[in-house]
Formats: sequence, C-alpha cells, structure tokens
Amino acid sequence: MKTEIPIVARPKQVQLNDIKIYVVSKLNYAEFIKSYEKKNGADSYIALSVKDYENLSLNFAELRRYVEQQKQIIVYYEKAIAPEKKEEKDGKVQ
Amino acid sequence: MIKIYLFLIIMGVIGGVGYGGYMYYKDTQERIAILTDNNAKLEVAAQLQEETINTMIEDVQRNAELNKELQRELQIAEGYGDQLRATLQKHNLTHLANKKPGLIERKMQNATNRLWDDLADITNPNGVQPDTTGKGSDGNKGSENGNTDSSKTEASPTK
Repeated sequence: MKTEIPIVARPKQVQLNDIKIYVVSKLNYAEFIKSYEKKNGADSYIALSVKDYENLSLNFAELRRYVEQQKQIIVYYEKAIAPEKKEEKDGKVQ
Repeated sequence: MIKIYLFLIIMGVIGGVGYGGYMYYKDTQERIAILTDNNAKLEVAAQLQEETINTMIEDVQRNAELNKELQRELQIAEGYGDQLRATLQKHNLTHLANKKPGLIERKMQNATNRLWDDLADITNPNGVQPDTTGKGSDGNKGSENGNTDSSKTEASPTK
C-alpha cells in the first residue's frame, strides 16, 4: 500500500527587476559619458570586462539549468506519487 | 440357540461394516470440505499474488517511463548552457563590442530581458513547461541576426 503524500503548492514566481546594459568602446565613449550623466545624474558606474560579462552569462545559464532541472525533478516526484486511476471493465474508476 | 448367536454375530459384523462405512463417509466428507476450503483460500491467495505481481510490473513500467521522461527533460535543460558556451567560443565578443557597441548593446539588452522573462516562466507555479525547456531556442533567438556574435553573446548573458 502506497503512502499518500499531499502535493504542496509551489513557491511564487520570481519577480525580477529590469537592468540596463551599456556597451562602451572608443567609438561611443564620449557619447556614453554625456548621455549616461544626463540620464543618471552622475558619471560613476560599474564596469564589467567582456570576459567577465561572458562569465556572468555562463553563471546565469548554470543557475537557469539548475532551476529547470530541479523543477523537472519535482514534477517527476509529483507524477510518481500521484494516485493511479484504473478503469475496470464496467467502466468504474477505482 | 446357535442360530441366535449366529444371527447376533452376523448383525454385529453388518453393523460394524455399516458403522465403518458411515465413519469413512463422514471422514471423507470432512476432508472434502477442508480441501475445498483450502482450495478456495489458495485460489484467493494466488489471485492476490497475481494482482500484486501485475501491480508491481505496472509500477516498474510506469517508473521507467517517468524516469525516461525525466532524463529527457534534464538533458533539454542542459541545452541552453551548451549553446551559450558554443556561441561564446565561436564569436569574439570583445571585437564586436569595439566595432559595433550600439548594436551589441541592443542585443545584450534584449537577451537580458528575455532571460528575466524565461526565469519568470520557469518559476511560474501555474506555468507551462514547454518553452522553458526549449531554452535552446532562446539562445538561438539571441544569436539570430547578422550580429549573431552579439546576439549569441547577448543571448548568453540574458539567458
């Protein structure tokens, strides 16, 4: 006889904030400084090298993979513990 | 007098045989009843055992199917990261950012926005999983344009 485990509700959806990315090179540096200061009211910013940006994207990809796989494993368990419905010859469901 | 004794002896023998027959019949009936009862119990036990075996076989098949499906989904989930790595290796993002910063910026921004949307979809408790799993496609989207490089790059970060 199988132990019946109630399926609990999943956590609420993530609420992510938008971010603005600036790609700056010699070609648009002056323009960037001007527009950035105008928009943000300061000329200080956090810079990321291209390599670090790639690493950051890979890190996000890894986290995304983990979340997705974790979700699939939960789905697997939910299906595994779900009560099985059998139809008998007379059409009644057990 | 002898006839009387003879008669009593014969009657005794006949009575003994009759009693023996009766006892034999009674014992046989009891045995038949016990055997019938045992047979019924064995049939029930055999049926129960067969049902248990069938249930176990069904469970094994069901678990194998679920496990197969899980492995497939887990494999799909690897797709996005693999594609991103391939894209980053294929394209020189530094070079592209130097040459076309505006274009790369736009692509990165779009890809990043898509990543947030994807993460929201993945974590949606009522969400459908199909697109979430097809992350590979997202990566592709990012890398679609002529600036595949940038796109991919973007897609990567985004996603």
